[in-house]
Amino acid sequence: MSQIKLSSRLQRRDFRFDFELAIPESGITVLFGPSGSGKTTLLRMLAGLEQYPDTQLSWGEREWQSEARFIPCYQRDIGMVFQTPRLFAHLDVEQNLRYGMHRASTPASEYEFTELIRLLGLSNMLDRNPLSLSGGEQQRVAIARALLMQPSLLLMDEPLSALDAANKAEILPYLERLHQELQIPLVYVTHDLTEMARLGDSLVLLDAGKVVAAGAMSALLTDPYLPLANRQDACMQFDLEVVKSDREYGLCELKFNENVHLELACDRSKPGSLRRVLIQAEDITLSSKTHQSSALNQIPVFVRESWSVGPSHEHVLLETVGDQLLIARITRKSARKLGVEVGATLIASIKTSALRGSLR
Amino acid sequence: MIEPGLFEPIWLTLKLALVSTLVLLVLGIPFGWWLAQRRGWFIDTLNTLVALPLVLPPTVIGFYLLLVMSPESGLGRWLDDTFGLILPFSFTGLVIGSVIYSLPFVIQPVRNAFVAIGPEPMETAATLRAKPLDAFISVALPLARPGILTGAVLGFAHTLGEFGVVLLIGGNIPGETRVVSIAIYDHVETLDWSSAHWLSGTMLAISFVLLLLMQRLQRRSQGIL
Repeated sequence: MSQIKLSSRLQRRDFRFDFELAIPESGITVLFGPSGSGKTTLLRMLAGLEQYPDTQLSWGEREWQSEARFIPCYQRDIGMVFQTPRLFAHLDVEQNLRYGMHRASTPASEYEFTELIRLLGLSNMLDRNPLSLSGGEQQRVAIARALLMQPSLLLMDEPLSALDAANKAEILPYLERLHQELQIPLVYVTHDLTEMARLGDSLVLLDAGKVVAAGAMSALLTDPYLPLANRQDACMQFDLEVVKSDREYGLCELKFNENVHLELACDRSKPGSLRRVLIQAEDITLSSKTHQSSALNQIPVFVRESWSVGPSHEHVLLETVGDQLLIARITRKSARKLGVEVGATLIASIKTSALRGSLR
Repeated sequence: MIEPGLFEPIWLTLKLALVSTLVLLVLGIPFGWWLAQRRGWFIDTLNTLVALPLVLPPTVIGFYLLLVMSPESGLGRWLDDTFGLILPFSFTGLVIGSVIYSLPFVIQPVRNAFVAIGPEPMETAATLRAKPLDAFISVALPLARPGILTGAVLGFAHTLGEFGVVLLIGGNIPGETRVVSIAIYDHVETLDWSSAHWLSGTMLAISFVLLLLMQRLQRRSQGIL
């Protein structure tokens, strides 16, 4: 195992890059940051689309950029999906899909081609002109086109940001499934927190050309010293094991820690399999003791820290007996009423319908 | 009453237009691509030079070409000494004149087509493992096809109408430099109205059909781009 190592001291007129970065060789690494933070530039460095000065990039044996050498994009073993589909208008869908296959060193076989086309629901549009497809369909073709080259590294630059909510909802589950099957690293640029938490295993947080933080997604999401924990849409990510599924109510039970199981709606989950669960800070209710309520999921916690976020709200960092961290977003008024102070023991309740689990 | 050889100037004109258009495409496609990729003072100067034949009286172009090509000039003498090539009053000289005369009509649509494509398709092709020349042939050229076709038709049609340049550097040698516009002028001068009618009518028909074809081509390609 070797990491992808990228460093840059790029100096542009109104922009400065100054970072050293290691990207894990497996899983999905999300590049996250405000617009203008350098996410797309960083991705273009990885792709080799431009020869940025004062930049080094290597991945084990592969030396893609150094003082002495620059391997251009067309010689790098990568697949890239852009913000817009960028399909070739003079070719039909199938010719678009095969364009990269014909040129790749280890393209997908005909069997894999058929399988992927079926999986992405493209079978009945192979002879169409790409411009006659919807935005979501076009982006599915673009994703397939990159995958069919069977690259060693996949790069995606906000692939869902140009799509409307319906098209987004259509592709996201596919990306989640891809995540399960993908053997290669994927570097994914987004500015959508939920999208990031659903897909990402690792996170690189960028701001103004600097790496603010890098590491495991689940840990960085609950780090009180990072801006993520202050956002209204702050959330937590857990990969949990399915203990049993309850056919009668359409729920399944996930092991949160030794003492607590969570219940959430899911269909046909095999016990032993993993589910990725997102918990929104807004969806957590705090109370002083267990009580009969419609919230099925109640987790004993104690308060580690709390801080004001804006004039009316407080974020409370909670720790479970299993050393897991949760952030609850509550009003300052209820924090005062409940007596939220460091060390206090509380119950965190999460409404089942607020939880969603995806395949992991 | 049609004299034998009456239509010879038409064949010569079509041959001149065809050869000039081919030369213009071979030079214009790479040059137009090159111009489309760059910006700055130097490129603006080049674009202006390319556009000059649009506004200059053709006789001005012809006059300067005659000066440069003449065996009295340095270049002319060198061509004569080295290749035994005397350009004024020859078909080759006419081709060179036509290429310069029709240059903007080919370069501008071709360059504009490449500009309209933008850098994205070439980048995308590179991420799909296409080397630059491969990407140019398999992506940029087909996408610019409507612009290239327009340039070819305009260049061809514009060369058909050439008069001033030919008059100065070509003269009036039958089968060599006597193109249709010169021939019509001659016929009118000698009051041979019948021949002038035949040639003018034929040219009118050819030009009309050519421009009509171009309209149809552009209509069709609008569906693609």
